[in-house]
Amino acid sequence: MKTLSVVILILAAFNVNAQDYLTRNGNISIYSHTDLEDVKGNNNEVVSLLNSATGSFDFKVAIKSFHFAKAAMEDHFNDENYMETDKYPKAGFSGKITNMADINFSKDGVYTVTVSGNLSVKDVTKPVTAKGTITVKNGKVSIQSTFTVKRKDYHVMGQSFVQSKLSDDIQITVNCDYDKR
Amino acid sequence: MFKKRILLIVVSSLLALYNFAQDVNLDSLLDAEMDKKIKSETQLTEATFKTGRLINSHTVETAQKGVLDFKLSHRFSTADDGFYDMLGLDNAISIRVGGDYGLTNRLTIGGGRSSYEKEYDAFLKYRLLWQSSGKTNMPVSLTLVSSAMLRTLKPVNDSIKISTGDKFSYAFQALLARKFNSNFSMQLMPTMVINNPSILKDNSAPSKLLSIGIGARLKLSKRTGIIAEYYYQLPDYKLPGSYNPLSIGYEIETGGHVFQFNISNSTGITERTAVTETKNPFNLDNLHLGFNISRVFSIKKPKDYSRLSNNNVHAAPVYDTAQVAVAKEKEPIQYTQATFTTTRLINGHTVETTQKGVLDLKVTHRFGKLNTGFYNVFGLDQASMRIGADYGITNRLTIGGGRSAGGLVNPSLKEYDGFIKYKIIQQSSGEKTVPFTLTALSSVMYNSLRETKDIGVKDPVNGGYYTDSSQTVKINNSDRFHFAYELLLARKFGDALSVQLMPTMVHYNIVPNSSVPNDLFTIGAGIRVRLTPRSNLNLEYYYQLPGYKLPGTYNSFAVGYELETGGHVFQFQLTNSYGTTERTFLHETSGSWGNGDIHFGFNIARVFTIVKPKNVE
Repeated sequence: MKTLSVVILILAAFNVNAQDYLTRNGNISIYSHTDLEDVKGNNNEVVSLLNSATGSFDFKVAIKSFHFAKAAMEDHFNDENYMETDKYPKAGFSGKITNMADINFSKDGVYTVTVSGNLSVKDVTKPVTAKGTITVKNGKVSIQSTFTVKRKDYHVMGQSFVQSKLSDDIQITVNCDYDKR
Repeated sequence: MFKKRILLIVVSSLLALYNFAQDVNLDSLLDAEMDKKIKSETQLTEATFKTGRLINSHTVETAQKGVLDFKLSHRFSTADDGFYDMLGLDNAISIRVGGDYGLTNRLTIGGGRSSYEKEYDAFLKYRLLWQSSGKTNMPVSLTLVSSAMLRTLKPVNDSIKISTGDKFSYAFQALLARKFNSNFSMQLMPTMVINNPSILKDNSAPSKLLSIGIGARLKLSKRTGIIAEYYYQLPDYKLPGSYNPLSIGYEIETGGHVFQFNISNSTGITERTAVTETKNPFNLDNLHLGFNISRVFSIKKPKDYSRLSNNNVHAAPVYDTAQVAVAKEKEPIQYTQATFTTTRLINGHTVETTQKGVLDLKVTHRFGKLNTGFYNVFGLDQASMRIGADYGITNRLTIGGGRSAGGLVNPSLKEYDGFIKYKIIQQSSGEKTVPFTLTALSSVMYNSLRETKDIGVKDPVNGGYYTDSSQTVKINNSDRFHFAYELLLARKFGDALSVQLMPTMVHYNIVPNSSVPNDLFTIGAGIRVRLTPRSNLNLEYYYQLPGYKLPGTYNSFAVGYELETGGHVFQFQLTNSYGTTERTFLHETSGSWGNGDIHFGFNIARVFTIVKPKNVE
């Protein structure tokens, strides 16, 4: 009887300490800076899953949910010269925290992390490593990371005359607040 | 105790396995989220039509809040004089310049001025119903338009006095449209135009004119479409002698711009002139070629991201521009980009060449002289035009050409030109440093003005037809050619300043005066000063060497302001030249700044990618 109650308690504890953290409204923004023009796109409908036991990180975004200040920018972003959204409606990232030993998901604090994995945009999947922070507070987990990718690596070419207005390096910023699943 | 520990390990590993096993499928989760979103929100149908005008008519579309939609429309004279008048393109008999401004996303105010009958117009437009799907399902859009037009053309007979109030006309339209799918949209346009009875020539004509219009857009490709509109005038509510207007157009939409090319039997562009006062039926003799250009400018910047996203917005991240900049500096040779914004400074060429596979369409206008007074809106009623294009064969080699017509500003200008341009040296920094850019230009101009004023030929100046041929001048075909050779030497001093020098020689096969040599020389200088990242101040001046110039001409001087935006360059300028080719502006500038002979003008350059760049460099 005593054993059973201990097991139940442990089970309950494990459930509270479950390893899956999920968000349905994470934020990813993209940014290109040139002297001529700054382009910023924002997506507040990112779904992401973080497993605190294995350190695995997964993101999925709908390209259509990126919004821009100007309607024309948004049209262009989705068209066949850039993201080809009709053909490739989603992009994703799948990776792992490489320094799991430094992070204690059961203790409040701000942890510096490095995540390595594969970023899939359009028809290209390439390895990406990004630095960021994980904040644990009152059992909630949020992450923040900024990294840069080369858009041409992912076949985002653009028309020739916009090349001077669109940086080759696109800065990606991730901001997600997770809830326990 | 030991047993317990074993149990614990087993349970926890089982639990771990369990958690692994029920791994979330993010894909389906995302799909479910998107699906939920679509159902819980109303999706307003966007782009039923591409802009606020179909051809002459309004569409249900209103301007986005805080956005100014600049409108420029031309209707050329009828094409019945064939290619001599370039199918009418030499005479823009009807020009409307105007703008629409979005007070809210549904309420637009706007106005304009048309050269045809010297008419001003103003309107208010409200989108009452907006086609939508999702939470709210609305099958159609309904927009109400109310406009007022003021005709300021003086009556032929000075003795006729018309009070200002009588010069007004009003129009009311209810536009009902549906976007059936992404390819096809249609709208119905019941219209009432009210004229003041006292200005009607025929007292039996009704002052309330009713018509029902129908318009449609059929998408051809992602960015192009065919547009058409037709108005049926109710038999008892139309002006005698007026015809139902039919207009057919082709439109290209690209990055904040809409270009429309059209043919129509109506000359005017406003409701009164286009819907109720079309004087000729739709047949080959009476067709006007025309174009509309619509360009949107954000006057009030929309707040970032706020346009469509309605979720809780995270604080905007701080962007690390330094990081992006550092990544760039590693490149070994940096070629200096954009010494000048486009391939023309104002009238003259710059060192810039067109990118490989890119066509750069050029439309330039030089209006009449500013000192012609307000009645002619300081010359805006007349235009000298050049329509041409540059094409990049390689990144350094450009060919191009165009056609110039003086219109009423200078009826004796009818010219074709062609040129070839090669960038010999490109300014660069980094591993290989070159301090300047050098481009060579060679062009040929052909004067196509008819040599004789034969009886029966149209008089472009006074209208009507020539009745005597006493002023006959015969010009040999070879004497119609002029050649220009120009070296352009430029340096970009940082982003703020670019300077170029342009020594030029123009060869005339025949000169009007035997004391003048056939080879004329000028030295030009041009400057671009950056005002903001997208706008510049341009200056150019050409000094004609004494002894190598035509008598009675002035040195060409021009001041311009340019706006650069998404593949387009708009330039507004003041210049004492009416022409835009080397012969006409370098050596045949007849106006003097001192006398106030200043032409207002604009250049529009728009690039189109003809050959797509290869995916990977």
